[in-house]
Parts: sequence; structure tokens; C-alpha cells
Amino acid sequence: MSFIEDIKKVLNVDEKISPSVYRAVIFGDSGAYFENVLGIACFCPEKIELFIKRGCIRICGENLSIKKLFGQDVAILGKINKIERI
Amino acid sequence: MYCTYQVDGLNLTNYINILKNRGISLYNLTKTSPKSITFSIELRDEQKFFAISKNMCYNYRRIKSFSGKGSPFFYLIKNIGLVIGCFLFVFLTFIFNDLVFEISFTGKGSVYKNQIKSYLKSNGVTAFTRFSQIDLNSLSDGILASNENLSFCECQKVGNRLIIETASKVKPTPVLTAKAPYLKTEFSGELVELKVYRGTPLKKVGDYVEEGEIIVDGFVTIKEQTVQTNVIASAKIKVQSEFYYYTDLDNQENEAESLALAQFDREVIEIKTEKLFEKEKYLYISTLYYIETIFSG
Repeated sequence: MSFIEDIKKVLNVDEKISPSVYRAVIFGDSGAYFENVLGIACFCPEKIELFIKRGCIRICGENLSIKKLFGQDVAILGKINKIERI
Repeated sequence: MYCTYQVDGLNLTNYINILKNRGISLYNLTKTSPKSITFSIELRDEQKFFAISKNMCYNYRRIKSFSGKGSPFFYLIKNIGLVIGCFLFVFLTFIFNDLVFEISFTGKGSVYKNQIKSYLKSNGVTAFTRFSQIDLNSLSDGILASNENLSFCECQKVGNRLIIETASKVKPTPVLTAKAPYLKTEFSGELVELKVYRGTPLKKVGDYVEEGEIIVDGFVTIKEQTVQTNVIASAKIKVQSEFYYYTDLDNQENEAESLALAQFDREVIEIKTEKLFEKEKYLYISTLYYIETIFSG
């Protein structure tokens, strides 16, 4: 049994609820910070897609740029309209 | 410390992922066109970036050399010639600021500049003398003491120039006795102005007068009777003085005039120079014209 499974059992949480494979901090509509990013799938000023452990995250907005890309962390600047997991 | 690069090519996301997976941090990543991106990398990752990009089909070029907090210092280290030039400039400015490049004379006492120059030369003050070796106050006092015609002298350092401001003494007002029987000239020259308040003029403006000649006499004719009276009159005479300059060279008129002016300490109103050829030498005769005023009364 994994460590996560132990915690789920102790906390008595639903099976459907699982620890997120990524973490995102969104600063209003002016930027966002993502952790546990494996790579970049698509990059243009209107759309950025990030690889995560199981799937992708799509960030849509205007004038998007990557402020910092280091290890598994990505900081994105620009007006963010939508973040969705695909 | 960062460097900014522009990379052109296809499948740029793959290139970004390769750089990221090889441990290079990317900053300010923007897509400028469908086939080009710009980003900044840390200066320490530059060699690694070149090694990774070397065998890949991407064109990259540096668009901004250095940015970041330490960029001014790094710029100075990279451009050490500029730093040396700046230090050299400051050093030379400091050194040359102490040298006299020119000596200028101002004020009404500047007519005695030849005497002042000779005094300065005797005291070792010439061009390229160091200001630090000159005591300006004592120099002013010395100039004032050396010339009886000066009433004021002040030496100042203005940039690399030594400005000597002087004022000449006001001549004492002559006492008029009103007992002069005639007005006699002490100079030979052309009469340019004549004012007669009492007496009879014997010459008119434009005449040439000789030394010792009477210009205004004291007799006055009143009603067919001639009486002797005291003369009250003044006259200005255009006097000339000649300077000779022998040389082997031709076309030295300007030099002859300059030498003549340097020797002469009066206000010159006109100067003429003639050239003669004698005994395989050139003789330049510079004639200086100036005004002398005489009066009686």
C-alpha cells in the first residue's frame, strides 16, 4: 500500500478523490504558477499547453509568455481567461 | 546575469523541452513569430546552451548581451579598454588642469603687457608652467610693484588660462595756468584735430607739422589792433614710428608687423609695411601710426 493510500484510508476519503498530480497558483487574471510540469506541449501567445503526469493543462488567454521555466516549475504571465485539464 | 537569444526553426516546443530537460532555466520566453522565440538564459548556462544547440537544426543569435543586476560590472570587465580610457582621461585632465596654456591680459593696463610679459618671464611664468608652482597673490603684487604705471593687478586661473587683469594709473590732472604764449608741438606728424578757445591758429587740420613748430600763436587782432594774449588750445597729431626687420625670407610682412606691435606699447591706429630687397636680404619697414595730444592753457 502506498503512502497516499494510507493517508486516504486514515482520512476516510472517497476513492474518487486523489492527490493532484500538479499544483497551480493563479494570480487573478495576470499570471499563474504551475508545479510538477513535465514539459510544454504547445506554446503561442493565445494558448499554452503543459504536459503533466496524466494528461495536459491548457491555459488560454492573451499575450501569454513564460516568465520562468526551470525544472518542473513554470511561471506564466499574461491575461489568463481559462485553465482546463485535457 | 542573463543573455537574451532569439531562436528560429520548426517545432520550437521540442527545443524548449530539450533545454528544460537538460537543466537550463529559461526566462521571459516569448513567441515573436510562428517560427521564432526569444528567451533569456543565465550566463553560467551559456556554454551548455551552445553545446546543446550546436548539432540541432535551429538558428540562434544573441540579441542582448548582458542584463541583470551585475551587468554593468560585467560590461566593464568585458570592455576593459573603455575603463582604462576613462581612467586615463581623468588622470590626464587632472594633470593638464595644472598647466598654463595661455596668458591673457585684460583691463586698461593691458597696454603694458610687454613689460608684464618680461616680468613674468623673469619669474619663470610662461606657457606650460604649473599653476601649483605659482602663487597668484604674490605674482599680482610683484607685477604691481614692477610697473609704476599700474594701479591694480589681479591674477586669476580660469581653466588653463592665466588671466592678468590690470588697471593703469590715472595721470594727475595738469594744472592750467592760462599763461601759455603759444601752443608748440613736440611731435612731427599730421594734424588731425585742432581746438582753439583763445589764440590764432597758424595750421589747419590736415597740415603736416614739424617738431618745435608753433601751431597756435597768442596774438589776436581786434579792430585792426593786434594784442598778445594767452593761448588756450589743444591739438591731436598723428605721429608715426618706424620699425625695421631684416630677414632672408620673402613674404614676412605679417611677422614684421607682429614684431613691431610687440615692441610698441601705444595704441596703434594704423600700420603699414613696405618690403625692400637689399644685398640679398629683405628689409621690411613697418610704420605704426598713433595719436599724440598736446594742449596749452
